[in-house]
Amino acid sequence: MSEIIEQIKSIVVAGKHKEIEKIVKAGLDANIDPGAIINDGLIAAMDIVGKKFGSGEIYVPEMLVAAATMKKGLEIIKPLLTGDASQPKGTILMGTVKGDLHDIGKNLVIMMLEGAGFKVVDLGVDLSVDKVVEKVREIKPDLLGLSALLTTTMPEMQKVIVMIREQGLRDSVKIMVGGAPVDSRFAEKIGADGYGKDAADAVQLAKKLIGIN
Amino acid sequence: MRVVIACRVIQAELDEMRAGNPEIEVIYLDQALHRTPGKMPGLIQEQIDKVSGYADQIVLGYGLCSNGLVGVRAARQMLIAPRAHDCIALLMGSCAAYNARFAERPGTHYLSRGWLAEQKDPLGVTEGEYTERVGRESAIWVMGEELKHYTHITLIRSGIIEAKLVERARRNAEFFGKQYDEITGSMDYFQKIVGGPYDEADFVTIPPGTAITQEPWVPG
Repeated sequence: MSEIIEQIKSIVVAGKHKEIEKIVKAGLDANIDPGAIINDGLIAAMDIVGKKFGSGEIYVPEMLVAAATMKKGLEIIKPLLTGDASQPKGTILMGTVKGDLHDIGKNLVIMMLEGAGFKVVDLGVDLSVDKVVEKVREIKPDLLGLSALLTTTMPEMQKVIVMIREQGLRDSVKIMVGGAPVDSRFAEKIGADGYGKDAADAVQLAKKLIGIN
Repeated sequence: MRVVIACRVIQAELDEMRAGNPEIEVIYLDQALHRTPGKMPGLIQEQIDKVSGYADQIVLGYGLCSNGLVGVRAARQMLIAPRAHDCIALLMGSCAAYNARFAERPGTHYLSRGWLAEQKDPLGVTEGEYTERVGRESAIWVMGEELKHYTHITLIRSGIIEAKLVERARRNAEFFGKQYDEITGSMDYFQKIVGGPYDEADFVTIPPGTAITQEPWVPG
């Protein structure tokens, strides 16, 4: 049983997207818990991928191919989750700030959050402050995740947080920030609740901020 | 002696401005270091330490480049760096010019002769590095994902550019399904990097012994 999970993990890490469907189905046929396939197989694999990316061992291509492999696996399993496992652990609003069109990192975080059982609403890229605030008001998420790849657009994160505060919404939503040029010092400076250094870290942070294990 | 440590992507422009002046030394490092910004400070620091014994002033021919300058310091000289975030602002002549273009159309991927000549353009990266890493089919998909929300590929013309490089710029746009256009660059920033003045609008000056931080570029 754990052998299949190990295989799923290594197939995702290697980005062998053509092989994932078969091995996931083999896992399900062997009655492995779908939740375990997600957590110990797919998510655990992306955790490894994130660390390899962080250390420079791999770059964007390997990471994206691995993510696509994970996504394929996730799509097979998701409909099979039942009971508690199928109930969202919380709602998270995610988006890339104004002027920034980059979403590879954000999309990876979304995939991992969904894998971890959160309901995620993706607002897309190049989001005006007003748009984000409007959506926070409308959707009432537990958590808002803001992303930026460019150092030119990082200040937009602060503008969003300031506006959310001014609109009296700050106490009703937690805010996490991330993206290559962002760090915990910046997150603290602009008044965010936390900073995720990679997708796996963002999932841990989301769990902590929302208050689940 | 003034020493400029710069990215090879702007070599043609800086060499033209230096015009053989023996009072100015220019050291070039490989371009596209910004793609792994974590490694940049160490590589630049190495060069600073090498010239520290004789340089009166050290100028960096880099933007903040995804925090690739953060942590760099000169022990006994003033360190001067463009207030630009990347080489696109350098090619446009000023931070103000860049900000105006960026506000007008954020979905533009810019190319210049340096990017094209070294084949560090999307096409070159796809066919070279990315194909080696994940195979051609996936490489094309990956670059497509990176450029997904960009609408334009724009060539910044600075100085004399070979026809085959212009053609290559066009081919990038065609291959990735983007609209192609061109703008005229400016040599102003390169002139200032080599010869000053280092005005506050376009340059950050760091006192001796102080490490570069993100703050001058990203005021909070």
